[in-house]
Formats: sequence, C-alpha cells, structure tokens
Amino acid sequence: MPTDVTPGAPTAMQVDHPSVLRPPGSTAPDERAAQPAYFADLHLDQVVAAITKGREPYDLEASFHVPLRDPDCIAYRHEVFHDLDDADLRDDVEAFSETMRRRRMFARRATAARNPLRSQRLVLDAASTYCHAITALARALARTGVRSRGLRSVAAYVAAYARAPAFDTLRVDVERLERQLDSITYRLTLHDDRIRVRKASAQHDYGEEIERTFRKFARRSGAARTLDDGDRFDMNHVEAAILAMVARLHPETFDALAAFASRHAEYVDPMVERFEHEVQFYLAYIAHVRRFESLGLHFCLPSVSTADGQISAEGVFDLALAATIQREGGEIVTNDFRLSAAERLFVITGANQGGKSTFARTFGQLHHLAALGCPVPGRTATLALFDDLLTHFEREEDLRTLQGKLQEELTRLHGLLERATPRSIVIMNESFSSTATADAAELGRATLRRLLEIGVIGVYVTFIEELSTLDERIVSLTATVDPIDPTRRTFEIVRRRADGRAHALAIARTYGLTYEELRRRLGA
Amino acid sequence: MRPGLLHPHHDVDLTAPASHEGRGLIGDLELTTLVDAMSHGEASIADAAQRLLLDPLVDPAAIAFRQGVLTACLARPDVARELFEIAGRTLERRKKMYWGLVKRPDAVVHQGIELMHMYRGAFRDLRSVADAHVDDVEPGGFRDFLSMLRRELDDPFLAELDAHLRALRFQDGIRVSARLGRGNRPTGYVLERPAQRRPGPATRFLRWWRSLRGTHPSVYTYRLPAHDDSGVRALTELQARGLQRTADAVGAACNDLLAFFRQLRGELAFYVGCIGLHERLRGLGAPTCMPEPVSAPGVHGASGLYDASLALTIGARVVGNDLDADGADLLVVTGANGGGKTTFLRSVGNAQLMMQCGMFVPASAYRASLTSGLFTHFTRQEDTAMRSGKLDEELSRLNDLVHHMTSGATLLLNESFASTNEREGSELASGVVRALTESGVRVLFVTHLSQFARELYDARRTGTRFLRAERQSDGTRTFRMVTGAPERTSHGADLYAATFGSAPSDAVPLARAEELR
Repeated sequence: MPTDVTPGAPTAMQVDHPSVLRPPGSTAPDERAAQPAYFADLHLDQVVAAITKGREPYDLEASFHVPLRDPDCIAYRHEVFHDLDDADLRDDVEAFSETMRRRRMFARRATAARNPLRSQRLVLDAASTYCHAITALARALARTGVRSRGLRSVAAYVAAYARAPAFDTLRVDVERLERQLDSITYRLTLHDDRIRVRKASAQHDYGEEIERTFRKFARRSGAARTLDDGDRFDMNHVEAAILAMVARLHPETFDALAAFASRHAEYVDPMVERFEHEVQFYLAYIAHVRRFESLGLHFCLPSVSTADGQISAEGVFDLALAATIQREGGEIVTNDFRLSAAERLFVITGANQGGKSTFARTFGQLHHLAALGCPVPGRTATLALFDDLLTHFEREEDLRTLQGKLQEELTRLHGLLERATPRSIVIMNESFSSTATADAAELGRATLRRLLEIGVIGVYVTFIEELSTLDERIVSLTATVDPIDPTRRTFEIVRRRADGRAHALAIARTYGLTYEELRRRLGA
Repeated sequence: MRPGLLHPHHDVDLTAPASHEGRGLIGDLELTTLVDAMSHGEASIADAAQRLLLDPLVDPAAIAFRQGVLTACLARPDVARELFEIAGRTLERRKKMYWGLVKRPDAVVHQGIELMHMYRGAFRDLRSVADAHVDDVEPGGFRDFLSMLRRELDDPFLAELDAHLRALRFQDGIRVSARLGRGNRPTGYVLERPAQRRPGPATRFLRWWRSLRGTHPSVYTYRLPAHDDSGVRALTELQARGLQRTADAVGAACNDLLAFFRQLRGELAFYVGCIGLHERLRGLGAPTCMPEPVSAPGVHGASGLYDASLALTIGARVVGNDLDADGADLLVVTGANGGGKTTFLRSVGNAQLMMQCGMFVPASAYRASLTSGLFTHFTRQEDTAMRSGKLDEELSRLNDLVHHMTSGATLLLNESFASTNEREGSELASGVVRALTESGVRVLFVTHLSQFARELYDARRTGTRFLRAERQSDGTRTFRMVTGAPERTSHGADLYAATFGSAPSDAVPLARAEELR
C-alpha cells in the first residue's frame, strides 16, 4: 500500500501512481494508441463506440485499444471489476465523477463570468462541489468490500489527502462562507420601473394561501410543479444591479467572498482527477454490460493464460450484433465452443446467413476483451493470452478486378503468416471466395497447413467442406438453420386435423373453448 | 370536496373509457335506445348513463346509496334539474373564456382572476339552491349533498375567495423575497401577500425618516433608465419568477374547479337522465320498480319484466314476463320462432344492468343476485352469408369474452353455435356450458339446438331450468315465457304454413332429430 505518497505534492517518481488501470511497476500504455488493425473486422470499433458513448469528455477510446500481455495486469483489472460489482460502490463512484464534472462546469463559468460578484461566487461554488466530491469519495472507498489493489491504493491516497491540512483549510473556509451567504434573505418591491431592495426574513409564499383556500377541490395530491431555476450562464444588468444592492446591504460577507476567491484559485489534486478519468474505463464497460444482463444475457471474468491448454466458452455472443438486436428487436443467439489441448483451429462450414461470420467475430472479440482485463460476453470462458491477433476478412467494398482481389488477399495473407507466432490468434473469414472452387480448396489447404505448422489457434470460415477434415487438430463446426417455431408447428397439425368430423372442435381448440381449456382458463 | 352522488365513499371517474365487454353489450342489449330516452340529445347525460350502465356495481350498499339519491331526485325533479342546469351553464361559460396554453405567470394570474370570478357566481347559485331545498328533499345522499354545498360554500369561504380576487390584482406592485443561489443568482422566490390597504402617510414618513437616520441605509432603489427595453424585459421576467408559485396555485385551482364542475354535471346528468326515462315509461303506462339486489348467489325472480327498449321503440306498453329462477345457474330458453325469446333475454340483461347501476328497472318487481360482470354473445345475423368464417367469428368473439370473465359472471347466449351443423353445435354448446357453470358462471341460453336441449333436459340437473316461448295450439304467439321442456321443433312449420299456406311435413326434422340422438 503506497501510504508514503505525500498528498498534494506528487514527485516525479510517483506521478504514475496510484492507478486503477495497472499495477505499480508496469509500463504505461500509450494514451493516444490507435485502433488495432483487426478492430473493424471484428466490429470492435462499434463495440468501443457504444461503450464510450456519453463519456466523450473523458476521451476513453484509447484505453480500449491496447490488449495487455501480462496476466498480472489482467488480474489487477479483474480485481477492480470484482469490487465494482457492488452496485452501491459503483453508484458512489459515478456520483463522485458527476460531482467532479459539475465542479469543472462551475470553474469554467467563473472564468467566463464578467460580473465579479458572480465570478467570485462561482469560484466558491466550484470549491464547495470539490469538497463534497472528496468527502464522498473518501467515505465510499473506505468500505470493507474494497479489496482490489487498484482501489485500495486510491482509497489510501484519498483518505490521507482528505485529512491533510491543505484540504481541511479549504473545506472550513468554504463552509463558513456558504453559511453566511445562505443566511441572506432580501426583499424586492417591484412597482412600475422601480426596484427596491431591503433585508428581509424568510416567509411563506402567497401561493400557499391560495392553495389552502382551494385545497378542498384538489384532485391530485400535491402535484409539485418545479420552478424553472433559469440556470443561465450570465446575469442581465437588472439582476446585476440587484446583486450589487444586496452586496451593499451585506458588505462584510461580500468582502469575505472576494478574499476567498483570490486565496483559493488552485486546489484540485491531480491524482484525484486522474482517478476520476481512469475509473471511467470500468464504469463505462459495466454500464454497457448491464444493458445486456437485463436481457438475460451473461458476462463473466474469463480465466486467461499464456500456457498451452484448452480454450472453451459457453453462452458467448457477438457484442456488436447484440447491440443491434437490442435496438431493433429479435433474439440474441448464444454459442459454445471448446478446443482441447491438441486442437488448434475451428473450421466452420455451412449455410449462408447461418451465423458463421458472427461466430468468428465473437471468437476474436472475446480474446480482445479478455486481454483488456474486462468481463466477456458469455457464461463461462477460458481463453488464451495472445501476442498478436490477426484477421483476414474479405474486403467487400473492393472494386478491383477478381484477379486483383485475389492478389490483394494473398498479399495480406502473406503478411499475416509472416507475423504469426505460436501465441498468435488468427481469424480468417471466407478467404479466396473470388477464385474457382478447386483453386480455393488448394489455397485453403496450404494456408491451413501453414497455420498448423506455426501452431496458432484460430477460426477459419469457408464454404469448402473438405477443409474441415484436413487434420485431427482441426475442429469442424457447422452452421445450422434456426429450429422451426414450435407453436407454428402445432398450429399446422391443428389445421390438418381440421378436416371432416373434428372441424368445429378443432376451431374451438384454437380459441381455447373446449371443456378442459375453459375450466383451466376460468381458474378451476 | 366531491359531489359524491354516485358513491358514498369514492369518486367515480366518468371520463374513463367503458370496460371491454361494454362494446358488445351496447348492440346486443340495444342500450342506445334506452340511453337516448334518458338523454333527449343531451350529450353529458348520454355519456354518464352509458358509462354507468356498463360499469355495474357489485356492492349492495353502493347500489342502495344510488337508489336513495334517485328516489329523492324522482320526488323533487325540479331541484335536481336546477342544479344540473347551473353546472351545465357554468361549463358553457367556461368554454367561451380564454384559457390558452399560456406560460407567463402574470398572464395565468390575470386569466385566473376572471375564471375564479365566474366560478364564484356559480358557487353562489349552488348555495342558494341548497339553502332553499335542503330541508324539503328526502334524507340520504341527495340531502347530504345539499348540506355539503352549504357547509363548503359558506360565507367565510366566499369572503376568502373575494379577498384573493382583490389581492391578486397587485395594485401596489409585487413584493418578493429571495436568497442567493449558485453563482449568486437569486433563488427561492417567495411572494408576499399583497397588503389589504396602503400604509398611511404617517407610516410612510416614519419609514423614510428611519432610513435616513441609519448608518447603513436599509433600502436601496434602482430605477430603470428610460427606453431601456432589455431592462423592461428583465424586470418582467423577474416579476414572472416572483409570481411563478402563485400562478401555479391559481392555475391548479382553476383546473381543479373545472374538474369539480365537470364531475358535478356528470353525476347530476345520470340522475336527470333517470328522471327523464322514468317520465317516459310512466307516460306509456309501463310499470317501474326499485329492484332488490342480493349479494348471495342464486337469486333471480321478476314479475312483469319487459324490454324497455322495445316499449320505447313502439311507444306502447309491452307484454311482461314473470321469472322464478332462484337456485338456477343455467336457464335454457327454447320454443317458437318469433315468440319473443330474444326480447326476453334482452329484458333480463337490461334489468340486471339497470339494477347494478342503481336505477329502477322495467318490471313490477325484480329481485336478483349481483353479477360480477354481464356478457352477451348474440348471433350476428348479418354474418350468415359467409358460412365458413362464421363459426370462426363466433368462437373468436366468445374467446374474447372468456378472457374477461371470472367466477360470478353472467353470460347471455343467443343462438350461439348455430353456425355449424346441429350435432357439432350441440357438442360445442354442451362442453362450453358445462365448463362455464362448473366455473361459477351463470348462463342464460336461447337456443334452437334441440339435441343439446334434450340432452340437458334428460340429465335432470337441479341447477338447470327450462323456459319455452309460449305457442297456443293454433300457432299464435303470446310473447310469454313459460316453464316447460324443450320441444323437438321450433315451430318453424307454423311460420312456413303462415307464409306458404300449407304445412311442410314434420316427419323429416323429427326423423333427423331421432337419428342424431
């Protein structure tokens, strides 16, 4: 636990920590990392766009671009995901982020406001919001359920920071000044073109008296009409004039406000802001996961290893397709797969539109998401940690000649085979479909042999069925058509029996009007 | 404060749409004729009557309450009609006044004053009717209503209303207090009640004197520069914010008052409609009576029960029937074509609905158990051309009804299952009827399915009763229902004979009936 970190004064060596994204000592990832080459093929670009939607200010995409290679880094994130399973903790951290965003809004407005009385107050509002954020975060992270190394290091840091004198002074100043300002009540008399301002004490609104008179006619119980707070950016000159008069009625308080604004210009701790930024990675991902969990789909933290071993998963699905189906309606189909230690490649054949490409993408997505240290879409999953993920998908938008297209495919394939190592994952989808079947079979055989030779694991989608029996290290999968809707089949049987004698009773049965059905319906 | 003429304890929402089963009932029971006779073209009466007929009460106390109010109204139709007229007049005036989708609080207050002024007049009218008649209407719900008007619309309330109407004009400007919110913007506006009178010159001088003497002045004044248009807008907005809460209260009060008068008119409309129908039937010399609702199941008796719709249509008294079906959960009506079976079924349905909405019934006596829901399944004659789809249509309709049925419901079947052949129809009918009665649904079944009727008769079940449309030996119909075993023919031969001048051979239908047994 890095309790030796001095809050508020990070040194050059410690600038890296605490971090919830990676353990101490690991290399910092490139914060501007571009999308890996396989992102578009696997529809991971859509997935990441959906995950980060609504959190644009945090610029989160890059953190979803870099797969981790070290099992301990993955475990470090798994621990944080595990802690954040606690909805209360998650809500608290979300609330902390929201409060920090509000603080920035007040600070921005303070800078932009032309009226000094308003600007000074916005500085106070920003500081007050910050104090609430820190206090709430310290309390949230102090709970016993927090076990991850990542969150515990942040908890220790924030606890020390909240106790340090610098923060305490700020908090005390804020509270004293807010109390004074809150106690001010003033009365405006508006008559013709004149506004009079004087001190006043709190009263009841006349509207309440009217409500009382007509209460006996009230139908809905207290339909609260919220007043439009008119949270505009700036004040008009009449409001400014009123504020100036109020300030003259309360000179001491407004002097104190001016002094506060000049004293507390810089107070935000960079480590706290950094935590706010980093934790969005988890919050965004969990929020996305929960959208699908509410549809009855499962996610799990996979076991991930670099050692050769079996790969298996149950109830997995394509996260990009699931989002489309969720939006447009339909049923999300899940799949299982298993590769025992000796097996290396899935060769998928079968009907068009049978979900072959979807399976291939799912396989790739699972491995990328697992390498980010994230839960994956599936009930259970044991996956491999890869050094490279290589995809070879048909480029449909390609307008070159068939000859050119095959050439292009082979060039890409060559590059792929050059890069692949025994720890690589390769996903090939409908390669060589632009050439004659005999050629495609030939090329497919050669490619598969080469892939087996290298020892990669992966998926090969093809329309050439013989490729699935090429080698005992190949597992053959077949896309099947959807099962026939059982209710429809029942209906057809009824229709067939509906000839001749049983006609009327058959119709009665379809309307649930036989003796037995009726008794059941009427709750016998 | 609620009119409370329809239920002793809670509001009856007259704007809610009628329940599902209502759609079929209106046509099958010819309720439109009844409703038209009640309303005389007055839409509010038609709406209330239809709504309440289709929403039967199941609590005998609630029915007794409405019967009490109705009895009092029938004794003093002038009082009920005058109150109804006041409510209607008020709503007509309200309709002519402007109450747009205004957003600005000062406009809301301004329009609110005018509306309240109008409602205040209506309150005075209601009060004076209540003052004049509270002691000469019969005790019960109606008298309680008049007492409530006197109590709630008393002089102090009307004076309070007048005071608000004066104060809301804000003749000396508005006084608003506020606090400092985020960014020092004003927040928590509170409008002070306008002073009843301006302070006198002495008070004003003292205030001014004190303000001069203080070390810190306690008042500052800002005056808008001349021609400062944006300043005027800002001031108007400030005023609007100060008035917001009061405007909301005024707006809510106006909406509540409108709802009150709508409810009042709706509730009175029902009774005024009953008065109208009562007068019409009396004019025809047709009897009416207050029915006796019974919460225990199995009670059903009537004398002189007739179809009010038929009487109103032909404009004359019609034949009444007696019914003694206590202890029966299945009533099978067979007999002569054109013998009044459908009319009889309709008269039972109408009487039951009228009783369960608190009305009198067209009979000289009527006593019946309450049903949890009345359903009708009548043959739609117009469909007969499309023979193949007919059974489908019929059963689909029945299926819809069953969706809404519970134990304690009543189902009126009129020539159901006639769209297939006799044997299949009988099979269907016996399955359905057995399942329904065993599930606690009461069934009244007008049928020509002789196989079905004979089988039921031979089974000698205690809960089953048989009625037959009476046919005298010469073939004349009396339109009376008499207790009797189902016959093997519906005497279509009589009609045939009347039409063709000679009788068809009875042998064929009889032989067929035998064969089918």
